[in-house]
Amino acid sequence: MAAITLDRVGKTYPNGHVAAWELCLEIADGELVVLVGPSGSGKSTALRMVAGLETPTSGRILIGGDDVTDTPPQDRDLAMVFQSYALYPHKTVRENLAFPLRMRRAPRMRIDERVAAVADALGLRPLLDRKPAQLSGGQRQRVALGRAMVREPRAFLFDEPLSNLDPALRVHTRAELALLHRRLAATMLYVTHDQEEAMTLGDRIVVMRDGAIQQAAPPLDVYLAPANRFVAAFIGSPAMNFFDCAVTADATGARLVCGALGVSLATGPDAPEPADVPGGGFAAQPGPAGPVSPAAGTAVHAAEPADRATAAAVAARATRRGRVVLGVRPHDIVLVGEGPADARGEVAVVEPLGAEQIVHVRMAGLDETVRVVAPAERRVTPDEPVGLRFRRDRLHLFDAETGARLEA
Amino acid sequence: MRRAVRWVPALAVAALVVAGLFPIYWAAVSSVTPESRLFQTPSLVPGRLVADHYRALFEQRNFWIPIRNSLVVAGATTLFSVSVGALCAYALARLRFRGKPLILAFVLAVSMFPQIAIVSPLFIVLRRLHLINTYPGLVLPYLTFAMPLTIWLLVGFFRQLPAELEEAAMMDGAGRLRTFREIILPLSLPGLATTAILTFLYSWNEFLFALSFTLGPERYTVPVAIALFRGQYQVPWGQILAAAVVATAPVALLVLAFQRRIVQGLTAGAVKG
Repeated sequence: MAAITLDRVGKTYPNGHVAAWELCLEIADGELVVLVGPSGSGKSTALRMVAGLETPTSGRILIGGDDVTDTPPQDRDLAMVFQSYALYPHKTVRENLAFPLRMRRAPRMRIDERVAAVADALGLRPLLDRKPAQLSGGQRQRVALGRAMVREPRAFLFDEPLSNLDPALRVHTRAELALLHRRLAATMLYVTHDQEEAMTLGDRIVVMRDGAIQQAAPPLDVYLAPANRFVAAFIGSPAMNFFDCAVTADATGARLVCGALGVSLATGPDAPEPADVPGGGFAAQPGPAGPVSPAAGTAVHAAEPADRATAAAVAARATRRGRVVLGVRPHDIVLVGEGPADARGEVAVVEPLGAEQIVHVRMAGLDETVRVVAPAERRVTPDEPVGLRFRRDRLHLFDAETGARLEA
Repeated sequence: MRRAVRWVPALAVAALVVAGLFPIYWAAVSSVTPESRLFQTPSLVPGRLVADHYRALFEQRNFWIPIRNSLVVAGATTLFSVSVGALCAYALARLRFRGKPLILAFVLAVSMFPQIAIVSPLFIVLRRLHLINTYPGLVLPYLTFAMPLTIWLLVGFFRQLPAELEEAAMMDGAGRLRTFREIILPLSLPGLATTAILTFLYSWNEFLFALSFTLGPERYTVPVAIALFRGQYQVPWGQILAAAVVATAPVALLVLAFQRRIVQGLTAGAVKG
């Protein structure tokens, strides 16, 4: 196993298209890093450059401290699982598994031993004499995985390995991959466009867009403190709500206004916290059912906005600019009936998901509806007027022009 | 009315098949018809069958020699052009280098010269090399049309193979040539077979070069030998047709034998699906 370093790696195609731009990334020995982004974001190009299948036009790639920028793929000692699995169709499962060892001139005894071990670990023993065409999608996927595991490469590369599986199998295989990573303690670089896969698998996730890294951090840090508006919108489901707000200073701090939305952010320690005020239908509601409990969130991750005072301070500074983008995740909004609220509107659509429901709220002065995740028990009917209350410690502020996160 | 419309395509196909097969049938029938009856009123159903023409072919004319010559020349041409052509085609299909389209166009251009235009210069070259009336003296000129054919056909076949297979092989530690041998060649067997058959066919039937660069019956190929059957005062049609049947049979058998192989989709299950 080895660490992988990308040192200002770039790739510009002859036609001028920039597929990767100044990528800098350190992947520690034994770390699982997930590259995530929409299609065309350069994540696959980055992976293929590490693999040696694409040549960077600038920068260096180091594996275990060796500069491998000009080393052909077969000499990099990496293993890769392809999206299409790329099994050799004319070879049996056994021959497929043995191929990487045979290419490295391993002795016959060792090949048989390793193939048997991998086949047992992945439950492929009864399939050893079949050809890939006779296997199901899940079985092919396991053979592809086995072919990567059969040696002990310096690192594993995964190119969307789960995207051809059906949803149930995908979740199952995802858990197996996480287990595999723990057992092998192997360096892994994993590419996916699925933010959920990225969140659940990665020790660290790297969000990419247009060939550039937007943010590289542990999943929760990315979720709680997205570096910019793009990351905020891409990570988390349902996607974050954004409000293009005007900022004004008020008596206690700053006030953000966007149509029917008005959020006061107080700087003082004795400032009232609207969410604490009981009233209306709010008392009857359980707390926001976010994926992270608030206690764990604040205690473990220093990267999130520490408290409402910092958010207010940020907003106050933003008053000079006059405009700021407020981001609130659907899980961080509480539906209230009467009483104080940060915004008011009426229910447009309700999408029940079972454990919870996504409520789309129409607001005056806003083109898009606001997505709110409410507990399933909360009865919501279309056209019902509702109030929205935002969790003050989970507000995200972004620069109105650059989209960059505004920090205290 | 509607019924009739449905039959039209079937009838058209039937007519095409008859038009295609009839000359072969006629040649086969004529080759076993006695010389004396050949010029009487033709009849679709053969009357008396005789093996005279075949006997004459192999006993008097020693037709084995042109067959052997053709096999050697066409076989060597096929072997050489497919083995070397496959490597060229792989490089042209997969490696990235400058001027690739230019090279492909050039390869094609080589095969575009009318044969008659290059016969004289080739003759002079071959004479200087003392290759007139030798097997290499035919194989080398044949490569001028066989290689472009092979390369163009195989570039197409190689390009169809999923690139991820080769990438996987390289990640697994195989170099370019190893990948070519272990992955590409087995997977393109149908393509290689098709290419080999076509190359063999062209070389087997080639006439102009064979006529120009051979000097005596010991080096005549089948088409040349057949053409030279014709005497000063008579044309031995029976023997010519018998020779045509003999010349066609091995090629037809070859194609039939490989047909299933060609159709077979060997890449099934390589990637998802």
